[in-house]
Amino acid sequence: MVKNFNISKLLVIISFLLPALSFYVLFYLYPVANGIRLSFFKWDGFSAEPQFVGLANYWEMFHDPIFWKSMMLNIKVVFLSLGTQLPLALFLASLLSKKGPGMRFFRTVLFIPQMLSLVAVGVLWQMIYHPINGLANTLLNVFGVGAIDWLGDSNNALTSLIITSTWTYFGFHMILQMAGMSAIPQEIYDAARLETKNPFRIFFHITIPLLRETILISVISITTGAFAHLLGLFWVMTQGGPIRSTEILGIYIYVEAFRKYHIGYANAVAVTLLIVLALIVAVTVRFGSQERLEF
Amino acid sequence: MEVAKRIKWKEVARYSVLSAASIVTIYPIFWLITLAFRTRRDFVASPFGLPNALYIGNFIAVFQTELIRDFFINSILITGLTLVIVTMIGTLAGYTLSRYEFKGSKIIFLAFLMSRMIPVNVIVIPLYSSLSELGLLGERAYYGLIGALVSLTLGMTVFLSRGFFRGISQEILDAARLDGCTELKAFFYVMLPMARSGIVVLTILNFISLWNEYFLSLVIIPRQEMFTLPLGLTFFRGRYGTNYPQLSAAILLATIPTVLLYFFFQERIIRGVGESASHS
Repeated sequence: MVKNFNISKLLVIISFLLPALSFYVLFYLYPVANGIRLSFFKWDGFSAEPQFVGLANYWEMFHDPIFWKSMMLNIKVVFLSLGTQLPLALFLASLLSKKGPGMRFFRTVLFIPQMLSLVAVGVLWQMIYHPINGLANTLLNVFGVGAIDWLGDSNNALTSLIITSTWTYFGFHMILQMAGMSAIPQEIYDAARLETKNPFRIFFHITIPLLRETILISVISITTGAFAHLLGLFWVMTQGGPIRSTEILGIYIYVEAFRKYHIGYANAVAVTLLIVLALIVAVTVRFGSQERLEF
Repeated sequence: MEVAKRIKWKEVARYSVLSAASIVTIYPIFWLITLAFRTRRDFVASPFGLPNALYIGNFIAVFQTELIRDFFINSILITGLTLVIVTMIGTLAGYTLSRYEFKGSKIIFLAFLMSRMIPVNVIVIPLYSSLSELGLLGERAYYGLIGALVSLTLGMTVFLSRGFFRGISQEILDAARLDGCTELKAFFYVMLPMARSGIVVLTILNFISLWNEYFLSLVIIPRQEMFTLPLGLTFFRGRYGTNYPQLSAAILLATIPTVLLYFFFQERIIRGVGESASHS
């Protein structure tokens, strides 16, 4: 009887998990495994037989200066995104976490860009950055500053994209941080105020250390996002140009696969990116939560 | 007196910063809305402030392009089907992982979590190659796309629903079992309704990311007639060029569903996003 029960329990577990697991295997795990396999082949995507080339794709990648340029650019984008979104999110979240009339209104407004699709954001900001009719240059004109070529000049394009992505995403991280702050017991703040009245000291010595895990989640999401979601925004707005000044790794892979038909090679770069990201996530989680990260 | 005055100044500073941030956030969208109601001449003459008159010709022009109806229908179809699949299989898996401890349950959960932290967009080229081998591209691209979109949202769905089901007490499930419920019945008639409010939030969050999804669709969808709305917007960009008023109207129309959802459910959406970080 007891044994019988266990078997039926096992059947329940399997049948309940199977639908989700099969999608997971078919559309996540299998592509990863297949990508690793294809990375050892030379293939244009059309010819019947991919040709086994061993590690040649990886060799080629390590010796391609454009790959390294894209990788470095992407790392730069990670740090620029962290450096803009995180302080902004933390600062505004701490202002919003205090009581007062209108806080809900501000919170609602600051989160709105999250509702727009990346394409809508990208096309909107292309209009804003338009050299003649755009919002940005007309505003600068009001202040007597000359026109800037926001997206057309390779010295400005990356900054312009970072401004747009910060505008898009800071609200999301602000909400995350607010949720983290609301979990900090008020008594801790009351005790701290006996020591100091300086809000900055309280912020840096109480709030930030206690927010550690929430900040960690934002850091991971911003870092992987710079390799994943930003790709869509960059592709809509600049397609990696001008003169490759915004060609992050995802765009490099896309161009190699769909413009040059180096399918095997593109798979090798994608696999490398996946490994790098998995390492970053693992290290961040380890480093960030010494005591506990229970699931 | 001294103290009261100082506190007041602090409040002034706080509200000024928040107001400034709100204006910077909302002004581009306000500009977009005014743009959509301008004639082209009005836009060239004075691109700022309020339009001279509310002109709805841009919206009519967008509606008259037959393709936008196709794009809308495609988006509704793909988002709807994906939502149904991911909600059903994701909550079932989340429930199982919340109630049963067994060998490997932790690894399975970590695997789903991994697909949330490193989303399928990162492996879009391996995915494309695999879909091609599975025969899920070309005419059957929608199957491939829906599979990819399920994969994109599954990790989050399993993760959040597991948290919701954990919050329901074990006694309720035991009572249902004593009443002779099968496990599947207990899930559908007892547990799912109890987690209803959480699952509504989850569905809304998934709807927003599915409705707005762009890059997977770009790679997988082969032809214009199969475009979803986000892809359709790049199509309109190509067609209208610098006719910004019409382009703005197209953006607004594509954005209306998610913005409406936000206005009706903003409390729940914001709480849901906050919870997506905790619950771990």
